Amino acid sequence: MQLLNVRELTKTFDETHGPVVDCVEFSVRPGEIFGLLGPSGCGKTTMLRLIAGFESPDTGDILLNERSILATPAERREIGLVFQDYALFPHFSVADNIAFALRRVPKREKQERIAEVLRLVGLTRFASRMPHELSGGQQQRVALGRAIAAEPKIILLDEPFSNLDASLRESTRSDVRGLLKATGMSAILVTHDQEEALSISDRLAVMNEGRIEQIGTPETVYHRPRTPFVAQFLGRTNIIYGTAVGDQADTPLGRLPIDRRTHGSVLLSLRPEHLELLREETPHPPATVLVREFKGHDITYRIELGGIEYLAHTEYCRSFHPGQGVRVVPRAPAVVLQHRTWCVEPTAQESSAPEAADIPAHDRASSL
Amino acid sequence: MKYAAQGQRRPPWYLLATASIGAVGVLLPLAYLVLRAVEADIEVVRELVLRTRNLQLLANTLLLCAGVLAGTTLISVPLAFITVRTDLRYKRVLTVLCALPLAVPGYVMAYALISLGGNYGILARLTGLVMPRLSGFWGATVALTLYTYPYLFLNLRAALAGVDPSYEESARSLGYGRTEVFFRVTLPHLRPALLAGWLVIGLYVLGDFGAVALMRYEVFSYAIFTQYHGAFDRVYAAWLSLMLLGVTVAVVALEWRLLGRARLTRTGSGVGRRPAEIPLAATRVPAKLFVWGVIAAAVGLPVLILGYWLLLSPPAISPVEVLRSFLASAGASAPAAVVASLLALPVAYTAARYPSLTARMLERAAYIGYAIPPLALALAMVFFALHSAPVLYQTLPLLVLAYALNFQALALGPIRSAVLQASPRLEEAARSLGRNRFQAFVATVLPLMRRGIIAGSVLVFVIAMKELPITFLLAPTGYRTLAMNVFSRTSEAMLAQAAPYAAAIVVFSGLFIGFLLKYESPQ
Repeated sequence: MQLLNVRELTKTFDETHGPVVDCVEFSVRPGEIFGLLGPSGCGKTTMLRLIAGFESPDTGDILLNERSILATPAERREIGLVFQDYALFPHFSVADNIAFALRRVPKREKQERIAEVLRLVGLTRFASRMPHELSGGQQQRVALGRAIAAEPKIILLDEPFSNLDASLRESTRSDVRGLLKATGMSAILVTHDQEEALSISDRLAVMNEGRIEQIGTPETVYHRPRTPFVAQFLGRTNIIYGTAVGDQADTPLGRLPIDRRTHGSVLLSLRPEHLELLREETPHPPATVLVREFKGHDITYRIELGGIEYLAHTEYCRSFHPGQGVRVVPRAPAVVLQHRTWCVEPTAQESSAPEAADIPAHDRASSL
Repeated sequence: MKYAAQGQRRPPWYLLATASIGAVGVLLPLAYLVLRAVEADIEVVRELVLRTRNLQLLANTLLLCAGVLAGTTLISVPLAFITVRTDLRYKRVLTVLCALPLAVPGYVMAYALISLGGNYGILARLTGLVMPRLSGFWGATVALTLYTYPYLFLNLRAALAGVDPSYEESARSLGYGRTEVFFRVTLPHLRPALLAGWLVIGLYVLGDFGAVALMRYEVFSYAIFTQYHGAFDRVYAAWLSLMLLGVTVAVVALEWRLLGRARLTRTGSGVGRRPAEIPLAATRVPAKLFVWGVIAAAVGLPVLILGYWLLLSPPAISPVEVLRSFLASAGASAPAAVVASLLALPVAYTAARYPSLTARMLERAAYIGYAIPPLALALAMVFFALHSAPVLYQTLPLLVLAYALNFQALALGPIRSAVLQASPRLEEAARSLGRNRFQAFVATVLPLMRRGIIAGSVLVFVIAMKELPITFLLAPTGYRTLAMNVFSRTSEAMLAQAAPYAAAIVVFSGLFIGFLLKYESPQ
């Protein structure tokens, strides 16, 4: 049984800009952490607010435990919400913030429950502090504790780690995942950070321009992207134009194995770590190293081949220098992408598909 | 404020309904004013409207406006420049002193000027020097200028402090001297502040009644009063009010037109770098003389006059009398402050959370209440009460309501900034924890707004304590506030007797000057 079902949800704010959420469908299973990943402005936060009940959709339906909640006001949906800025009540102490979620709990039990929640989020010592006296990470845990205290059916987290220092983000991420798993709480987590989405989600949906482009486990979405957008949004990749013949395709890199049998023109994605470089003075096809970026554990090379640039990662022990001739050898089958209409001849990596222009630069780079 | 910009969500009906009360409260009486005016016989109306006296009133009104605007500008521009940009010492103290006339209402300023001159004036008594008593155009202009210049001064100060010094520095590096830079670079940046200050002062002059009446200068508001009070000609009073409203609308429209382009050039106030102080050098003495001259005229004079009457020639008025009058003022002002805040609260909330055309209209309506000449509003309230709610006529609740409608815009400012400071996420968090809209608001935003609401209420309270025209028309029989006592005793030439009441107003208002400064100037 699904816990939450979103069916053909559409929401338009401004007719001239088209729908912000466009016919979105997905479901969340009990106990699952579901990631909603996409660039800013892709509609993921609106999606969250539709589920929480702060916006109402134009068409479509939202089911919680098989029952539509569209007519239910936000306060009776039993859906918890953790905001990007945490929205802790500044005039309440930590304990009072949590007590706010426990209004139906009898007075005698209340103190016990507050203590329990504080223990859960590891803030027992901070019960009487005011929100502004806490660090960002602590505020975040209060917000999560407050949401959990209300015992919602599902918790929605809106960019929960974006206000934290980079150094704190990773540990908080695993804390939050541990906490959600320990309480068996289902959650939808909205983020624009692919690393975050990949590491915390059980499953995730990649959203772009109001639509979901792909839903799957982090591994599937990363290794088997369905669209050029997904392939590029989840990390650097080489987008290659080719002609498929069965389980192989002819490309500027030569004949490559592909991940499924097909025929005709195809768009392929080949991640940099799936390309191997071999030293060869006069390789065929002729490829040259353009740029070398040493990063410690591995090295990224920009390779020029037939006027097109490719990215390749090699292990630290293999070293090439700009100007050297190399042979490019695929280590894994290229992934056949579903091509929507592309109007430009794809040139490889970032700037190939039309969607690529919308991806913020740091999102592209941070997967390296 | 990502979501506020989406602006598509509609406010719930009960919020719109409560937010509309203030607007309806202002517009409904105005409808009665129009109704009363057009009710009269067409021949009568033609005769009333085409009287040449109306033209004279219009000319006088515009002349007074022009005179006061010129006077306040001549005082405020140098004053603001000296207290912000030069190396004059004690600038902070001088600024407070220069803003202090806000505590001296126009009729008290007029009272002080009247007391000064003439055969039996204080000047004659103290020095034997007989100076003609100021009255008419010059009297009204001087009284209103000395009272209203702080509005412009504070606006200009804020703007001057906000001008990015790099504009002036680049002009200087291009070879322009200090004076040229001031006129060609600095002054254009002050345009929005000048216009904003001029509007406030213009509206004040159009609506003022105390100073012009005491100085016996025939402008619209004075004529409305004499028609209503002396001649009991309510139709003519209604027509005069409409004409005055017309002038007010024209002034506001003109300001909007001028400001439309000026806004584009405004620089943000959040500029980090402060311009270097300009050394006064040889101009130090004239600059000091100027600043102290203004303070002496606007603050020293009324204090001196009141001190003279109270100490050297104390009137036979018991403190109990003054206290009773003070309580009468407070008895109308305090409930008015509460009502004004209650009216402003839903308007501010709607405007902040559901920005839309409707919300803007509701806000505008509140400002209409403030811009309307108070006599016109009071007259409209009289007609409204007589026509629809005769029980209310000449009762305290009607006076309180009129104050609240007049001053709700003052409460709107602080309350609105308080709402804007409370994140909508807090309410949403409360709702996701099981509270409905209203409960969420009460639990999260209302406590955070407390300071804004108190600030708005106190502002209304202080301003209402000094109110004269509305009080004069609407106060219940026998109800005499401080302002009414000052006015009636002065107009009957009982200058010494007016002193204790005037002093009470000045002392009371002076106590809140720090508070006013805080909200008048964004510094």
